[in-house]
Amino acid sequence: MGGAVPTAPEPKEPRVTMEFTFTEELEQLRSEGRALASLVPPPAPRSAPAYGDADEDVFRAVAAKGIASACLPSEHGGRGLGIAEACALWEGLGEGTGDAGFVLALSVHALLCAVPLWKLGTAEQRSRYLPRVATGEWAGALSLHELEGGASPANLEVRAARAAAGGWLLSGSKSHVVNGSFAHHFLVTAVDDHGEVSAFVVDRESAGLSVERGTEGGDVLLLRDCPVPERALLGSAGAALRELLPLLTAMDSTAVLAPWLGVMQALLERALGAARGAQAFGRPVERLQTVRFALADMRTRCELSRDLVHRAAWQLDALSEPGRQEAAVARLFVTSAARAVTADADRVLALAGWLTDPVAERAASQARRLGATAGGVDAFRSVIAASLLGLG
Amino acid sequence: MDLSPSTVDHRLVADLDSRFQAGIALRAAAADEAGRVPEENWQELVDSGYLRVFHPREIGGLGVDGVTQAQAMEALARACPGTYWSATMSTLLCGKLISSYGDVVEHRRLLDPILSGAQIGAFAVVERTSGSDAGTYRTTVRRDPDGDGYLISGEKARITNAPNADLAVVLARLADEPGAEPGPGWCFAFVNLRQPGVDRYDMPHLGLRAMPWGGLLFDDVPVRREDVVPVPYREFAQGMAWGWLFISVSSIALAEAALQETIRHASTQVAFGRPLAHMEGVQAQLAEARAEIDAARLLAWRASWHRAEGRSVHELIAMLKPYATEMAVRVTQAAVQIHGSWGLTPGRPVERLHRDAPMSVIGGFTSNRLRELVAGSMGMDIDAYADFDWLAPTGLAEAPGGLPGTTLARPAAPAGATA
Repeated sequence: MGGAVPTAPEPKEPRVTMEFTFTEELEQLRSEGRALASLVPPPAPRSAPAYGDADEDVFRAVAAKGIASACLPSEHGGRGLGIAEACALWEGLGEGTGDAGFVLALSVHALLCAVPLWKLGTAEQRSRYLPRVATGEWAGALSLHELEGGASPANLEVRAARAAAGGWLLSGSKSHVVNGSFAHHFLVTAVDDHGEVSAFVVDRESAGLSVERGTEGGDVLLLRDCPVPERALLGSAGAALRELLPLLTAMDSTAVLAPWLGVMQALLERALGAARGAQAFGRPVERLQTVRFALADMRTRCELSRDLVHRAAWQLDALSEPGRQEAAVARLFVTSAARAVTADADRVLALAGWLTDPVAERAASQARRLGATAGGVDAFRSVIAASLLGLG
Repeated sequence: MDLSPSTVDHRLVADLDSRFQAGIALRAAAADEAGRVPEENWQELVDSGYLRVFHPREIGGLGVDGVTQAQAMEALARACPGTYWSATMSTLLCGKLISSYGDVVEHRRLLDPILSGAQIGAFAVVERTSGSDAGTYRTTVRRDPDGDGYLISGEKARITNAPNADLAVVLARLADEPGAEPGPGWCFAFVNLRQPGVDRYDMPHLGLRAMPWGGLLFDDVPVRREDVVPVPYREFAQGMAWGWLFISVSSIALAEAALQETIRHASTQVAFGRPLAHMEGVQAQLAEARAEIDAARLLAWRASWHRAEGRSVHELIAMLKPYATEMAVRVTQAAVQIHGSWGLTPGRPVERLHRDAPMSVIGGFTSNRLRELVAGSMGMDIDAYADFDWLAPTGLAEAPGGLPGTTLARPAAPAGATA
């Protein structure tokens, strides 16, 4: 095809084109705005309760009602519940309270401290601690960093040295301790001179032990050349990452996670309740299709999460070698589901006019913490990938 | 929850799996390319016993539990999604509809050939005008003025197995008989497609290309009196739930196949001096896929178990389908990403799975339609569309006039003024 290339006619008016530059004048205005920020103070330290904070009286009242004793065997005054049964009980606690942080305080005592004392403890440690642990009289505490194992620099900050007079000297600090303000004993891991990690159960009355309130919420355990006897060692010396950590991780992906199943369900009910009868844009909120979709997705996430947690729990109860992949899958999925459900709840509640809802806001901030404990989603993904790929 | 291996018929599932992997799976790429289910596949399905997995012994089924059924479905769907759709649509969905709504004795003449594989069934719901909006359906069953039975007329479109089925379960309007009490207005009609007055056509489709798909035309086609079952409209969702379940399992199988293919690729493909699998970003995608597939699979097992025990759980299945089918789209998307351009190259399994995945999001009720249903089941009032002005009550419909220097909007010029 030949012929002249057509040319555009000359525009009668100056052509307007898009302009992608930021002029000097606009740049100066932006600088002016940035500079004014020096007059604005940074956000105040958080005043809301930290993830795991519990009022001591409430803690003791609930712990004594068969929670502290739930997973301990009957010879030590326990109810002997399996993990799947504990999941059901803990799910109910989450649904009833809507407060995963409070339930975490119970979990730290009854699951993360009590179960290792039973499983790894000597006969002497069991008979000394477990009866009063089971009644809730002696509360246990631990730092959430313990769930991160050797990967966390925070866990290298407590050192254990052999004391000349026998026993050990512990020194250093752990932050994000749950139940620190009223605990009778602390489950602590410490690193020795060879870089090996050992677990200890340290009584509150030990010399050199003190507890402070942390700046980020939670308590800080301070150990200043704290002497602990040989019998404070929990499990074998240098074996905490092999013995204690798998126990903590297994519970963290099951019974400790289960309250979130209940919290998500409670948020769904809350959002449903708010949506019913509310109006937005001049029509009932419950007829807004995007709201309906959000509620359907919330319920779906509740159901999907439930099966994954129950599978991991069933494996712990029934299999001689439960899979770490299935536990990590439950932890990863529920962590993401909690973030998604709290976000959906926020949106539905806001449309229904509940612009500030303490229950939903607390759940949203706790869901954020759920995603940051035990190494966070990156750690769970690594565990799953390692098992898929036959690595590590 | 008891997930002990002893609760599942493992021998059956392992046998199906090894048969399908040794035959049907090897022909999956060719089946996709040719756009049809190979003849040998059908014979292998008949020989394997797959077509009898989903039914109780009384009607010639194997009488196995729901989790075993779901695992059997997954074995076939992993081998060839197109073959799976065609076979499972016939034996599971049509078989269940006929056995649930038909008569146990009378309709053995329809069930037996479906379960033996001598005949193929189709479930014809959707018409050209709309997907799940039954208000637009026009296909009608009415009394044959010259005989004892009924006549069906209308057109169904976008139907699995329409091009090759012998029998269709058709959701149709049921005309009231003159002088009689008004009926439910709807029926399932079991229509013999091998007779004059039935016409059919193929329709092209993005994925599941081996699956026969197309339309059916009925021009006063006779239907026996016993083969028209009046049903209230709400029964329709109950019947559909079998379909949502098998479609969900197809997505789970497809995602699992894509994940396994991707693990293989990532473990051998070297980039930047190490296998792709050693990159954290790739690992994260694989781990997310594992978690999402597991979540969907467990819910599918639970739903299938309850269903086989005789409980409807159709809400649970309505939740499963959007999740499982959208999950498979995400997983195949990640699989393509990790495969790089190989994932877009015909002949690679991932390229095919990536085209197959979106079919399930749409087929047998779309995700959004099911989310509506789930919301409705939680007591969220549902009503038909009402004319509604979103923006006027908020003031957001107004253009932002009057801001200093704005040229976005100016006060309306007085009438008659010129620019």
